[in-house]
Amino acid sequence: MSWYGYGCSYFPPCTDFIYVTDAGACISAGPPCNFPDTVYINHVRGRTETYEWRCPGEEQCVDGDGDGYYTYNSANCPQGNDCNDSDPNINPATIWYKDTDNDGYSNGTTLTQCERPSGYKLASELTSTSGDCNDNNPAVNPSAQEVCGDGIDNNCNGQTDEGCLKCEISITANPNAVWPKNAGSSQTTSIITVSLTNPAPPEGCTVNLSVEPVANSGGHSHSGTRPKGKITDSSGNVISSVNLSNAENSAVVKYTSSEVGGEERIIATVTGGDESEAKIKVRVPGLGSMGESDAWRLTGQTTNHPVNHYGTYTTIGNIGNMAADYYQQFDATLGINDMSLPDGGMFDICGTYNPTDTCLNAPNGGHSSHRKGTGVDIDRTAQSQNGWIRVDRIAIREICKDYGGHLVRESTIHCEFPQ
Amino acid sequence: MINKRVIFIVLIGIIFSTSLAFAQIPSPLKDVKVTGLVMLDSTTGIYTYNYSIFNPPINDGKIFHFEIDITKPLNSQELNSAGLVIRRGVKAQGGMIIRSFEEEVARIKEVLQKPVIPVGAQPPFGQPFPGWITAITVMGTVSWGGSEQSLILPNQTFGGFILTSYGLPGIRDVKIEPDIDIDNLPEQYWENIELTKQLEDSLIYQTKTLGPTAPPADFKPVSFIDYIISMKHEAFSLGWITNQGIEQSLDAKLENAKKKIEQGNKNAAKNILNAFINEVEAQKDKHLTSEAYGLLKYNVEYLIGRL
Repeated sequence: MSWYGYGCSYFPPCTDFIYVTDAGACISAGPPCNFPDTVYINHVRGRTETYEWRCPGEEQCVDGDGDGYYTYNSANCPQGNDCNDSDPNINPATIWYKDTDNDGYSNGTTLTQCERPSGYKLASELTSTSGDCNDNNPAVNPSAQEVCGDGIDNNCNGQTDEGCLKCEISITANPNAVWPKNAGSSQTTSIITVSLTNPAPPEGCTVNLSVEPVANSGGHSHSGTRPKGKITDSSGNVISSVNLSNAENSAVVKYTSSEVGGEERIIATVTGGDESEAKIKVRVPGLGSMGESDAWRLTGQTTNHPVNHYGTYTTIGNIGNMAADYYQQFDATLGINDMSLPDGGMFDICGTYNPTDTCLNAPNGGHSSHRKGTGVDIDRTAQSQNGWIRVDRIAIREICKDYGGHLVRESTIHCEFPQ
Repeated sequence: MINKRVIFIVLIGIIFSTSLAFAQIPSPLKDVKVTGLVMLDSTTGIYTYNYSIFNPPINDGKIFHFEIDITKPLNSQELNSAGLVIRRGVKAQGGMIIRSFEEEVARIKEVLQKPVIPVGAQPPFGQPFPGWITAITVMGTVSWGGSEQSLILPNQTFGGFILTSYGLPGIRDVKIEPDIDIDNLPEQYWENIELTKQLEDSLIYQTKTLGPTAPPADFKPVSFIDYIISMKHEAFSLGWITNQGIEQSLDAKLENAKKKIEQGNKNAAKNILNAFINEVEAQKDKHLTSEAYGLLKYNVEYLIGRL
């Protein structure tokens, strides 16, 4: 029972109430305006009702729902501002839980206030006051079913598409090492097999294929658009993806190397899903480093190609013997200039990956005879105790011939040995 | 008139510059004369082969290299190598670089394509054309090569190329190669390994000469006399025997000796073979060149010694 509008101008019928002062006196006509007491007992109705009585200018401290909060908030009613005095669950201390998508699950965000914020609910109105991992999507909450293939965590358990069939793949390359193109061998291809490692979803799997050279591999420490291998189907068409299904759970394609030696990654990816890669070494097999010696000097290193003295072991032996022979004959140390890069293949001396670059004023980009580790450039000057001397080209030609080689025109004296 | 003169000069210039660009490729060598003499040191058993090279004036190429096959015949004896040295050449600072045969083979062992018979060798020494070096090559040849100051020009003869071996004289391949100025080859040869190799091969002159070979490991007199007969025929076809009557006379003696050997009459065979040697001696430098003389004399002596 509320006594709205109470004030000095209004009193309930005296016959209905006995007003008792703090001192215990009965007042038949209601309290005066300045009556300071706060407790009145209604004996007529057989129950005790507590009211606070205020004179004009003061508010009555009413707590209609008994939640300890009054309608008015003042010095006399310190726990006021109950915006709903008929509901004990709603008052300024009420905790509201955010449920924007109205799916009965909050994400745990709360506001404590009397008025209901938009998009918020009482705990009693929710299935759970926390756990909604997407409060903007009513289809996502802890009680939702996981939807396969949509790539999202529907049931807010921290996993995506758990329990669903996925496109899980593997990729292999056989062989995993091939020759660079145009380096003297036709073994420039590898069989690439892409397979499903588990049953595929009903819609199948599209696997994207790409080839990525490993930076700086093969001795190329320069920028530029690096040529890379290509992937082709059985008809020779360049492809970038294959389709797999439970019926055809593997695909065989072909990798063909470019002219550049080094390492390449063949990457198979399923959009938003699994990824697998196979590495292929593009190299002329059996190349080794020339190494240092007192009998020769290694020259010709550049920032583009800091390691330029690789050759077949036969060639390395031949060059060493050749330098030793020349040293014995002429008391001069030959300068061993460019041989091949560590993996052979294109020796783009201009550092542009352009095989037709003519920075050496030579056709075919220069150094086309430095791709397979069987050739060496001899500097035109050799170091003797008396200083630098011009290398006897014909003597070099003769020594080169001793080891089965022959000279080829280049900017330096190039001796080419048999494979 | 002036215009015509200018055009003429330009044309001459073009022709001249074109000819300059291509003048570096010599014509294929022809008719190079390789003369081989052989002598046996009976105390050591070492045969010494002495070669000279004549570059006839019809050639325009300068010879910088020649090599003689010394590969070991199949199923032949393992020959001694004691005392055989490779005198590689004269160092720029003086002194001769000398290796034993074993050292020389060890130098190229990893890449030696075929087994070779042991030899010693040296370039012309004390001759007015220094700079030649010699070596055993990976191809199973013994080679001599010049430097920029010591090419054999057309109409020149260089001699004094020495080869030593315990190997009997045989008929061996010899290749002679002219120098090409690699640096001035036409553009199509730049870095073109195969084309350059083809060019080199096309200029080489290949012929036969006397050279060391090894007798069969399983020596059988009849087989060996057949071998001598076949070499005699080849020597005739090579022009080393210049008179057919002499060739037939020698042939008859060898066939007769063969019959005696087959009949088991070794003494009769020896007598015939000694007569054969007498005829060879008599015809030396007449109807037998030094190659035919050495070939027939020393192989027959070897046969006689084993009958």
